[in-house]
Amino acid sequence: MEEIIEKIIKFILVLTFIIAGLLYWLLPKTKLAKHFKMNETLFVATNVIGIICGIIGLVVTLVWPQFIVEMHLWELILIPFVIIHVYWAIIMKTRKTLDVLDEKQEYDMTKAAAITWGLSIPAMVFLFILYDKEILSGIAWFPYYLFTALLIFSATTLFSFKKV
Amino acid sequence: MKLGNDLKRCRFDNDAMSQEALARAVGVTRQTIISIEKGRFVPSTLLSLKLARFFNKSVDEIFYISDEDENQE
Repeated sequence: MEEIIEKIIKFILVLTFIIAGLLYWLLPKTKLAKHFKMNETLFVATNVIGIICGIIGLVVTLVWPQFIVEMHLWELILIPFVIIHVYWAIIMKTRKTLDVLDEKQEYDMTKAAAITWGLSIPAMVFLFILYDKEILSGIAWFPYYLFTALLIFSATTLFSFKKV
Repeated sequence: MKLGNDLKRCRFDNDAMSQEALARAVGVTRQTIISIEKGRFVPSTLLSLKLARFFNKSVDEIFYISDEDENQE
């Protein structure tokens, strides 16, 4: 049963990768390209998706640490976040620029990155304690760090952006 | 010392222009314009020049140094 689930998840991941690649290659060449632009809604949506993926990933990591790694579930949880960034990449390709954010959005993301770095240290200390007490498996360190960082970064960026 | 601005007054003097319209005109988000007007965000030199050019004013007609903290010395 677990093997079947793993195969299904791998299939979904490969299919998503192929579709994303095709969309990145094809969409900028279509008439739809003129509608692709960065806006506030997309920026907010990206960070909301980051928060949701971060929360789900963190909960699954803490509850099923072995399962999330062996079944490639952490990659599955990240799919929405990756897809929205493929859309960002399509916008950049269409507009022929890497500069799609305005200066305040960049400032908010830079501030969020610094806060994420700072908070990741106590987060990893907490993981180390769980590992030391044999409450959590060591295999979970990567998805734990990934989803913690994603959650903190997205939440801080959104909070900074909306705080006016 | 803080950066003050008359951006809101410039918008209203310009046919009561909305923050959204100004944002679109200078290529930033509405949140950026709101943050600048409330003094929570200091715009870059480039953005300050874009805003000044849009309103046909010089940068120091729109932005100024607010000396509100001087009394603490």
